Amino acid sequence: MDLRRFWHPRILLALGAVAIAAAIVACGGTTTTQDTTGDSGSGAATGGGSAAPQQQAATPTLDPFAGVVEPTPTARLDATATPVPVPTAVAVDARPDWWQEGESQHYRGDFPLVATSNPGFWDVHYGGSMNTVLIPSGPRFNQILEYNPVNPNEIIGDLAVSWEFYEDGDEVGYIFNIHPDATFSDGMPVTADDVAFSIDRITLGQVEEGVLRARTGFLNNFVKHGTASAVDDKTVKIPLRFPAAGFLPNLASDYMKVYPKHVAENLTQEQANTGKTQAEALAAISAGTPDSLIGSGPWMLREWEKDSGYSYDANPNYFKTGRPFFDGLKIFLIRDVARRLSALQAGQVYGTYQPVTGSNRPEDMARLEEDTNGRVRAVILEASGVQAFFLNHTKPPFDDPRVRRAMYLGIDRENAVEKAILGFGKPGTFFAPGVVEDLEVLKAENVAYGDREAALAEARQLLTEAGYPDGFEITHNVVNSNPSLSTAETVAPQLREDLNIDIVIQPTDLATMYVGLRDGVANFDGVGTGIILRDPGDIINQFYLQDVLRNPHNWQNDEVDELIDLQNREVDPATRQGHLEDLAAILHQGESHWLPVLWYSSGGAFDCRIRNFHYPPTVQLVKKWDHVWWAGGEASACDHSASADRGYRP
Amino acid sequence: MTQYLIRRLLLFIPTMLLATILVFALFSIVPGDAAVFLLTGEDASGTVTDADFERLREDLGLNRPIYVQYADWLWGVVRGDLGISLYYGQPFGFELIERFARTFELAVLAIVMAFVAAVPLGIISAMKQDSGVDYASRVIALVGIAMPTFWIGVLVIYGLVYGTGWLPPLEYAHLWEDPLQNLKLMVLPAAVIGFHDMAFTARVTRSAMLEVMREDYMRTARSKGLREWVVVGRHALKNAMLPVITVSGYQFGRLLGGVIIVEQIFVVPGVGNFLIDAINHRDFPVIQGVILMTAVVVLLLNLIIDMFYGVLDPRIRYS
Repeated sequence: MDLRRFWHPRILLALGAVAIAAAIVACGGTTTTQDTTGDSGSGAATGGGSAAPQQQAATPTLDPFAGVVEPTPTARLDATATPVPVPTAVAVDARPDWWQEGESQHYRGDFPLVATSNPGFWDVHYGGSMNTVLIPSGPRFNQILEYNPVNPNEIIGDLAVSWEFYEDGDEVGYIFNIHPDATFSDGMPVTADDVAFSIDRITLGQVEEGVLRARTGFLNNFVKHGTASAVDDKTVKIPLRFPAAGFLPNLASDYMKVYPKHVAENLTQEQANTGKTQAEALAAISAGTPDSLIGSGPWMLREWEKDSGYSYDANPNYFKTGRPFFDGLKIFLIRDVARRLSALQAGQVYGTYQPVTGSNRPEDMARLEEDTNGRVRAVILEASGVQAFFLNHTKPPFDDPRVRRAMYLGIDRENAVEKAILGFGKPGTFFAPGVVEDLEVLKAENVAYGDREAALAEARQLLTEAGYPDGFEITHNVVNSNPSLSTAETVAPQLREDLNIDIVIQPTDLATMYVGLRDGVANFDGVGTGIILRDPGDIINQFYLQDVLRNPHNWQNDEVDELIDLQNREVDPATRQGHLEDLAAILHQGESHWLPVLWYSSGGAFDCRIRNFHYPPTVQLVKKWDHVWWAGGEASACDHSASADRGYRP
Repeated sequence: MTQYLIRRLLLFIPTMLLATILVFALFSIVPGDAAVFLLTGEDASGTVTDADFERLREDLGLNRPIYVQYADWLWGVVRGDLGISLYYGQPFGFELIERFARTFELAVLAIVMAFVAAVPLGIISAMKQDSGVDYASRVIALVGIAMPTFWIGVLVIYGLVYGTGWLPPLEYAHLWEDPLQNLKLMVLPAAVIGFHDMAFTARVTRSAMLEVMREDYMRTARSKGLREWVVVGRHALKNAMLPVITVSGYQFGRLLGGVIIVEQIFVVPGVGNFLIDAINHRDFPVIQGVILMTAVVVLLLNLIIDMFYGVLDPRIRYS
């Protein structure tokens, strides 16, 4: 057949029309009745000239996502806001009642998991990231205290078997007794000297120039460098600057690792940052030239390769009986979301290592659970981070406190939660939900959280008084990833409609955003921030001290400073809570530089046969992976029954 | 010939200098540096002070003028030292070479697959011009050109997981240590990348063949009574190969720096992953190292292809 005769222009035009019609139909577009019953060319598009069903004319849409079913948020999971943990002394060798079950299920071989980030530094005292430092390096070490992995409301002993508060004249502090059987992975016992050395190492930034302690330095608030000392081999005394309720919750953070003095004191910072395998590290220690860290924790680094992954061997001499419950862990690094989800779905990996991180979107995890019929369970931790706006209070328009309050009043937080993070979160409060502020009380008493009309009326009034009756235009310097960007995209049109504030969104990468924030380039910035502790001190340290990254123009308020100091020094939890509530009340006047919009959830996924994982207080806590086990058996044995039973259950 | 070679090799130097200066200049105007990531991490939490920032920038040498940083880096390169990764604090020269080798393997596989599929497709398309086969091959070529490789990659992954439940392995194995495992991992990304290149090469082959087929010497060959496959294979194809080789060479160079997303999707620890990690962390020495190495490889490839023209067409002489 000679196809060249089809080059006639009319035939080409007809073919073009057919192709366009076919494309519209294929893309889910709608056609009018006239379209489907028109000429023969159109008829071909609806089934080779056969009579197409007559449809009611619909309004054509240009929205590519029209008709796409939004994922339904899973039922609220086990993420009830936890109060500030109250330390309770639990001896570590009391052997929790679950260890025997874990040991009976001991997994032989390497357990495959997935992570998202390459290790960066391996010195947990130094490094500044959960994903790149704590997650790969942390499981090699212990702290003095830890958040109870099976009951995150408790702080229990990790290396410490007991502790007591002491007062000696003007001096106050804690005395810790170290577990008699705890040893480092080179066989040396963990002593009080090691603990005192580690506390000194953490607080070194106070006295030595150029020492970075990105996530441990805040211990300086409580402990003066050089004051921790060994009472005897297994007893260590840590004096405090003042009696402080926040000390133990901070000390129990996963970043406060105890290092072996005989190794760490010989290392340069560069060496401490290096990730050597256990075998390499031990060889160097044996040769008398240690060149990297080792620890007393449940895992020992076997190998790692950038962009591929890392693996651990279980520490055979781990002092916590029977733990960990796997011979080894094999962690694959997969950055691409689609590939990561596919690996979980196909069973190439059994879960997300250190499960909940900002890299895994809760909605993806919920959908994965649906796609696998519950074999893979969504692990979703509510309120793991706070998405907020930063207002430069030194430049117009935010140099006027009335404008800052107008912003505070104008933001529709419920709307932001529903649209920007699809319901996986809570409206933004200054402290982690439920810790200081009660959201229900806020809704009832504070118009910014409850009565939208009243809030908007007041906001408009304030803008008028401040000289912006017609609103204003401002550029928004925001991180180009979610939930930062989606929050900006949700709040900007809402504020434009409600207050005529015209926000020009300028998405950038994290580094550029922070420089813009610090240098006051945009005066209106947006970035999410993870919290290390639910303790309110974490928020205060990050946002309300002077000269810190997230208070770049040093917003300050005398009353706030006084209350910060008071709560810092208060030992009685109830009295401290009172100070914190007073502090929150001042912040809810909406005049500070920092404006929380929403608390977002973090996600992960576990095969339903993983047992004994309990939701930690924050994503940065309970990172040793020494309490979880694999139940084995068929996935079909998992309980898929009730629709309410969604999400991971221990 | 020797003079030509020397001249071309000498021209490498200003080209590479220009490429590195351009990258350095571009990054100098982009705000932010490695210190931000070292302190805040990818999850952006922790208490960080301005003083911490300044100390770290000083430690890393980031507070020096940009021309000093560049000169320092260049002097290192002259001495054979690419420097130390700002983010990881480690030398990265050997790792870069290893990463390049993996991406090179991926690119070779992709080009071979593309070439093997594209040349016959282009020839058949040209031989059967305006036939159903021609239209089909042109549609395939259009699809290959129109669809971005990362999209095809995601479709392949989802297709596999929903269709077969099988996925390529997550763990990379060296070709010489475990060839089967290596190929299991590499074949699919190579096919995805190769599909795009195949489409482009097939179109070039078709048009080159069509041009050659109309030459007088083709009629002469047929009138001599040669069989059609001899006419096509010996007379047409050889002459049509010049633009195809040129395009393939260009595509090969492009692949070395352009497989970033596909490497991520298929978890290939190649230079693409290496580069994106460095860009995300503002790790200038690593970025410069990758750019420099890519420039060298692309320049060498172009030189080799230019030399190869002489083999394909003896009329071409170098002076």
